[in-house]
Formats: sequence, structure tokens, C-alpha cells
Amino acid sequence: EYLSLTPESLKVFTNSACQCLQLQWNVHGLPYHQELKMVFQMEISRIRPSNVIWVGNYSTTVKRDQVLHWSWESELPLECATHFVRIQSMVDDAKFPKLSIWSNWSSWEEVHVQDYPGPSTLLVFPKNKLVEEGSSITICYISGINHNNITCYLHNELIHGEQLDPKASAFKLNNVSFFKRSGTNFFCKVNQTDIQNGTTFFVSKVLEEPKNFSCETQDFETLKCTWYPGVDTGLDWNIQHSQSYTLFESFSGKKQSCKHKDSCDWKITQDSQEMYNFTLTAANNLRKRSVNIIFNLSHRVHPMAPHSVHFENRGATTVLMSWKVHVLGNYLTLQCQVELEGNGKVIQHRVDMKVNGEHLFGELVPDTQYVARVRCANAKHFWKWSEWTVENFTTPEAAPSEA
Amino acid sequence: MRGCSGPYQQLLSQLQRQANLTEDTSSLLEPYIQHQDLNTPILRGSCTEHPGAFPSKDALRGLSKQSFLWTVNTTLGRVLKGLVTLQKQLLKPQDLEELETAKRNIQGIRNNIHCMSWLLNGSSETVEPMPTGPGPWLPLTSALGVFQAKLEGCRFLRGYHRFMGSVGWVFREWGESPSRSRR
Repeated sequence: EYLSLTPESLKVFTNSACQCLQLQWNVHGLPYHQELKMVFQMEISRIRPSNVIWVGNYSTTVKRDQVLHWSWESELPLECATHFVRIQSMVDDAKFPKLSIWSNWSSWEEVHVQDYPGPSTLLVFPKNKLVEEGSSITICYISGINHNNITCYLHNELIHGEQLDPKASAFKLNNVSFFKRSGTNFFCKVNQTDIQNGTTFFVSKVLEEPKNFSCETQDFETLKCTWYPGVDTGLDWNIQHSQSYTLFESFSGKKQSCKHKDSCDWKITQDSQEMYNFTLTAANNLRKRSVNIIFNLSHRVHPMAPHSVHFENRGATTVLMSWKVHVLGNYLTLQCQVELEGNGKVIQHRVDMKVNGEHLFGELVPDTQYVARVRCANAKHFWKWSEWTVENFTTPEAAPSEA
Repeated sequence: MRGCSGPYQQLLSQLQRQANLTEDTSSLLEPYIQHQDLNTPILRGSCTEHPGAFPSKDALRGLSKQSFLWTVNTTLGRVLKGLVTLQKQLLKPQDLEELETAKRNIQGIRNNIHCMSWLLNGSSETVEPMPTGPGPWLPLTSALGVFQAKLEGCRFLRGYHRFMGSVGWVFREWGESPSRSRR
């Protein structure tokens, strides 16, 4: 048999910031004390009920006496026109095919946001709107003054709009582009009077995905993650701060906000794991972008430059060069590259070491200045060389040959 | 008084120079107009000083030297707060460096005013604080919307430059010695 489940107690709330109509209603008399799949159809009109501008459906499962919610975003600021909303329902449940008939419409709910403008009033909306580059924005004014006497400007250039009704006009701006951090001014003036009003809207550059995201350690105590942030999407007037960056490591479940826009230090705890799965998320008011890397800690070792470089002469043509490195983890084996430049030649050698390194250079030229360089890297899993450490020394003069 | 140096005449000509510098709208108002994209005849036309926001020239001329110094110092204290408010509206203060420069200039003027007041303390003039109106202030953005707040910032700076012009005028009327005046 047929059952009318007309939506009741329809209430419409407004949110000017998001230009949203928030609907709330319920359905009385649900049979069989169980959940029913239902579809609701909404009609939204503007200026007058007959001027329907949007129709859409919303499907959900409904329990007895449940209050239902649904939201709709208007491209036109709500202040610039009266809106009307009504709703009808239908059971959409395979268990009850016979009930699949549209109910009656609820009565129209009228939505006023702004009082009717007085004879010398000129109000422009929305206020301080933030949109992303490439999107659209509709600006509007309401006024008790004849719209023929009102002139509007965007970027200080004349712009013409569409008259919605005798007291309201709208200006749809498509594919807006970033202009200035201080925003884009749109203003209107009543000809031959001082009456003017306007609004500033803000176009944010599109947030970019962080590039070249990578992490490394120099001491097995701290992981230093770096990336290229791309464009700063911050805006003046506290409309949108520069994008924020957070690091999330999934194996440990830990999350950390990054103080800098292009780097972040992550504490390596003693019990911490070998494998790391980092997600770096950039976020601003409009969007989030994430990048991800997985790595083994020991594959990301970037040693600090060697130190304590010494030279011990063994005669005029032989030198023992020694150096130290900062201890890494449980004495990681490093491979060091040693270079000796002098007398127009460059000699290169590779030396494996853990804490102390040394190399014996022979066949040098007496009484000659040499430049010695040393750098090291992880011997097992190369990631990056350390910086060079450079020291000079001079070989002693050869002893006089016996006459 | 520590930090105060130089005779009356040198201090006075320094104050006159500082007033001339800060009267010049290209030192702050014009860069602000450019930054906030208010550079149109219509919006410039709206950028007028709020009556009563800053003491008028005639009001300043009618004050004793000490009251004049006190009034200028107090008003500039409020201007500093206003400039800090304008700076907070920027994502990066360096986008409008003239604001920081203006704050330093105002601090310099206030230091010299303290010295001049100390110098004049020898004279018998008493300080009658000038009845002050609401004084220069800047409404919170959220109350107005950014567009109106931009215009308010513009009106505020318009008043500040005009006020400094009037201050410079009064300093030019001061005589060569602390007790004499050209008026």
C-alpha cells in the first residue's frame, strides 16, 4: 500500500562564510521500526519560488525520528538574494518496492540573510573571500539606489554585471588569477555621490606538492628532512598564513609540525626502528598536498667532515696522514677518499675505517708543499660524501748525500 | 638629561627636519596606497582624514610649548600603535618597509621631544594637556571587512602626514630661543 513520508520540520540555517544553506529535517511515521533507504530531492529557488536554480538528490538510510542534515553551497553570496528551499522524499529500498513513490513536497522555506537595503544603502558581498587561483567567484551588491546610477570596478577597471532584481546585481569572475598578497579590490560607487562600498577578495596561488623530499642523518641521533616548498601561498590580512608542513612517520605513528618551510629535524630515539616511512604534508586553508618516502636509516648516512688531520714525516719523501671521524651508530664502516696534490700531480686513494683513518704516502718530493684532502661516506650503503677536510703540509728537505 | 645633546637651536632645527620628512606622503601613504591597490581616483577620493582623529593645526598653534610637546608626543604614541596594527596585516613586514622606517622616525622625534621638553623645563610654562578627541586608532579588520579596513588605514595615514605637517609648521614658528616665539 502507499505511504506518504513527506519530510517535515524543515529548517534552513545559513553560513555566510561558506555561502552554505544547511538543511535539517526529519521524516515521521516510518513503518516497521527499522532503517529504510530513502532518497530526498531538494529544490532551491532564488528571488522567487518559481525561479528554481538547483535540483538535486540525496540518498541515505533513515532511522525512526532521525534528524537529517544536508548542505548546499551557493555560488552567489546569500546576502544578495532571498532563497527558497523545499524537499520531497521517496523510499528507495529493495525490501519495500511498493513504497517507491515521491512524497508531497514540503512547504517552501524562505531564507533571508540580509535586510532589504535602504534608499542610500550600497552593500557589496562577499567579505574577505578566499579562493584558489583558477576558480570562479561571484561578487554582488544590493542597494536601494537605481542600479543605472551604480558603477563598479575590478582592479580599478570598469566592470559590468548581471542584474538579479531591481536591488541586486551580480558579477561572475571566472578563472581568477593571483594578483597581490594584499588582495583584489572590487568596489562600486553611486554616480555623483560619495556613496561607495566594496570588498577585497583573495586569490591564493595553488599549493604545490613539495619536491625533492629527502631525509638523511649525520649522527644517527637526528634525521634532517629537506624539500623544495614551491610557491608561498600566504596572504596578507591574516586571510591565509604561509602553508604549514607536517611530518608523519607511519611505523612509529609519530607526527611532528615543522618550524621551517623547507626542512625538519626528526629525533631518532634509541629504540627506534631501522625502516622509516615518512609522509610530508603541506597544507593551507584550501588544500593539502602530500609526498611520501620509505628508506632504511643506514642507507641515508651523510657523514660529517673528517677532523683531527695529522701528518707524521717518515723521512723527506714519506708521510703518514691520519684523521678521525665522528662515531656513527655502532661504529659504521666508512670508506674515505684521500687526495694529495703537489708537484703538479694528484694522488688518490680509498681507505676503509671506523673511527681512525690513516694512509702512508711515499715517493714524495722533498721540500715541497702539498695539499691533502679527505672525505668519507658509508662504505656499505653509499648515500653522500661528507664535505672535504683540507690541510696543507710541506715535506722536509732531503738530508745532504754523504760526500 | 642622558642622551640629550646640543643647544636649543640645533634641537629645534632637527625637529623641524624630522617633521618635514614625516609630512611627505611618499614616505608612507603612497607606498601603502600602492601595496593595498587603492590607486584609483575614486578610492583616493575616499582616503580622507577623519575629522578629529588628529589635532588640527590651529589647535596645535594655540598650545603652550610644553602642552604642544606633550600633545605631539602622546599623539605619536598612538600613531606607533596604529603602524603596528598596519604591520600585523602584512604577511611579511618587509613587503612595506616604509612602515618600519616610519616607526623609527617617530621614535626619533619622540626622543627629541623629550629632550626639548627637558630643555624648556627651565621656562615657566605649565603643561595644560590638550583636550583630546578619540585620537588616531584603527578599527579591527574583522569588524569592517578588509576593503573598509584598507580605506581606514589610508585615512589614518592621511591624517598622520597632515598632522606632521602641522607640527612642522608650529616648530617653524618657534623663536631662536626657548622663551621667544614668532607668533
